[in-house]
Amino acid sequence: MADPAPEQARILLVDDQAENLLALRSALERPDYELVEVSSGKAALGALLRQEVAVILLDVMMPGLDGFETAALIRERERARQIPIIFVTGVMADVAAVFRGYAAGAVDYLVKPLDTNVLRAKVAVFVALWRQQREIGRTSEALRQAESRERMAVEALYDVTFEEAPIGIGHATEEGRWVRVNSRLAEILGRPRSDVLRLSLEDVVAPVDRAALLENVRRVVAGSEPRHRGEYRFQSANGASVWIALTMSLIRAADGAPVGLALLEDISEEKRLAHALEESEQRFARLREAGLIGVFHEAPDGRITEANGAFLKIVGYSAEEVRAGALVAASLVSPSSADAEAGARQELREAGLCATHETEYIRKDGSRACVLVGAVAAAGGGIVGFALDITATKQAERERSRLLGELQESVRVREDFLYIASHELRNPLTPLLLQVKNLRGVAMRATSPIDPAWLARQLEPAERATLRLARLVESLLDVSRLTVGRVPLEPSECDLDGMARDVVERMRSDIERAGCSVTVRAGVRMQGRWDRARIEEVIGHLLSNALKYGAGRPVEIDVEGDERVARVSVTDHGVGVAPQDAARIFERFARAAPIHHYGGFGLGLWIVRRIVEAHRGRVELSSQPGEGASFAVTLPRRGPAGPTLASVEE
Amino acid sequence: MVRDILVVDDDPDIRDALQLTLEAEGYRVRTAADGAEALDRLEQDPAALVLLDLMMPVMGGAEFMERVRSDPRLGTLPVLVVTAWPKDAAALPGVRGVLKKPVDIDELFAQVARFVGESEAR
Repeated sequence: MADPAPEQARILLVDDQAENLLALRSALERPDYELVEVSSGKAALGALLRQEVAVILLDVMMPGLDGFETAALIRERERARQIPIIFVTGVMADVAAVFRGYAAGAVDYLVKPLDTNVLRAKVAVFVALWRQQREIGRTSEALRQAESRERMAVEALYDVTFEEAPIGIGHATEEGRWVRVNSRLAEILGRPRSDVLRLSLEDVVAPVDRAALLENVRRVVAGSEPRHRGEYRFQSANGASVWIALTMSLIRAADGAPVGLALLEDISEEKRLAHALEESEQRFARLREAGLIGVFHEAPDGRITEANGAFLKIVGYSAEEVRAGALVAASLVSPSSADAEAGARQELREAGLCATHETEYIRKDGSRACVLVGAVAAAGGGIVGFALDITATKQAERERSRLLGELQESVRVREDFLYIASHELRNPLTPLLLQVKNLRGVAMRATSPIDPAWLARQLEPAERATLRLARLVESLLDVSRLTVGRVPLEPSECDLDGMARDVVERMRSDIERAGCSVTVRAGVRMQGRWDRARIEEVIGHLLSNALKYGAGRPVEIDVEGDERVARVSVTDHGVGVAPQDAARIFERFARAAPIHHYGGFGLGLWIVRRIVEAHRGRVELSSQPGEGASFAVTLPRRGPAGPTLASVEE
Repeated sequence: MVRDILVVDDDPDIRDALQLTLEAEGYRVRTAADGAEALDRLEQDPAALVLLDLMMPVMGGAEFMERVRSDPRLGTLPVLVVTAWPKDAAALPGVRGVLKKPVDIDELFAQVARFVGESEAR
């Protein structure tokens, strides 16, 4: 590649002698030099005004302006000051003296007679120097231009950025007047830009925030704070309130004047949302703190880390214990609710929430609480749940269903009773009515006196039936007496073995008709303080049962005891009582036998139990079905009242 | 001709009353306290009519009726049920009539007369 042709270098030759100029020309003539010849200093100055020159060859000895004077004038000129000068002189000493006035490198000299090679070499050096400077000049100019273009582009970009920024930007004076604002700022303030520029900050800020805003802006402009950021309410042209986050900082203009740089963001929507959120949180907080409903947070590790007062009250733990991590959700749930709780957990994992369900909690003190629980998965793992104590409701529900069950049972028992009672009451009526009507018929038809013995025999069943009716009525009255509150007792000193014998004696006819034999076995006299009539009633019921279910086999009455208790037991060898009926038969209107078998109200054993319990005694049954039954009544000998009686049961 | 009436009831008072009343009318009456005893009596001597209570221990009226109906010698034996619950008795197969307790004496005589001829003893 060939170098491009070197730039033409203009060389100014100054000499008053034409032959000297010719000599210089002939020595220096080359294609890349342009030789300009002038014959005086004055002409040289004129040439320099018109043309750019790389180097000047200047003859010292000239008429008019000599070489030194000419050089001095050249140096005064701005554009020519830097042009190197080669003085041409005949006297060496002259030049050396003058040189001290010039900067080194900007000047040289040649002594006559001229050595052509030296001349060419010196000129070539200065031309090369000029060319380098030219090159440098061109490069730096190009750089300068590029730089300027770039700066203009950047400035344009800045302008666009300023104008189009999605944030309000403005420059304000110390007094709070806007110098320049972008369109977003005007938009935020809700006013045309011309209005904004006309008004100060003070005019557009809401009165309630005015003082604070001005004070904070003042502090920034005064330099006591590098930057201020605050949230203020502004008023738009139509009077609407706008929440604005204002950032104010101090910058300086090129001339050093302080300028407030304001950045404005419309945060009305955020404020509205935050306010709504806060209100909503407050509403829920009120609910949470009102204590109506238990609220808790359970960490991913299963510990309950937060709980409100209502929840703590349900589970019986303190806030300190919860903070210490002592409360583990899984240990709260009672084993009976474990399956339901596992289902709820599964639901939580799959759907992020579980339906409201009933669970039983174990309180800290071990008691149980019935709760209604619901939960949702919380951000960051764990769950947030609520719990409502429904223990009382559940208890009431259980109580209701228990009462309903009791009611239904008592209705059933009464229906059974009516069925039996109608049978039992009608049975004795049959002989009574038959005999009375029969005797009446006989009496009406009689033509001779009626045989007294025959009449007595005829009246016997009627009498027995009447007695039986009386007993039934008595036992019904007993039931109503024994049902209402406490059993009234009239205790007196009496002996159990004597009472047993009296009862057997009184029931002699029943015993005979049942075809049983009854034996009273009493080793010693068993005395105590009891209600004689009531205890005899007890023995009577037991004996009556033994005769009824004893299948005609022998019945034994045993009386025994020690210094504390007396016991009378009535044993038969009849059908016996099935184990599943053993407890039930002491209930009112209960009978072990199928309803179509055996007469009686089913009240006997219930009356027995009531009377015995009123004496603080107990009645027990031991029986093998098919082998008979033995009812044992144990009574404290000191009677129904007295401080030691409570221990009798043991 | 067999004129015996067998009264079956676990209540001795009712047995006695029915027996005395019917005997006063001239019938011959025997008694039993339950179904099993009644079958024993019938085994010994035939009867013209049975007055049967339903609720009895050992063997109740319903079981007695089944035995009677399945026994070729007793199959035609007329049975009147005497009960406080006539509805129960009406459902029993083979029953010829029902007398409600307390028994009305005229009703008793009328029903009995349907099956047993007048006693010559009268």
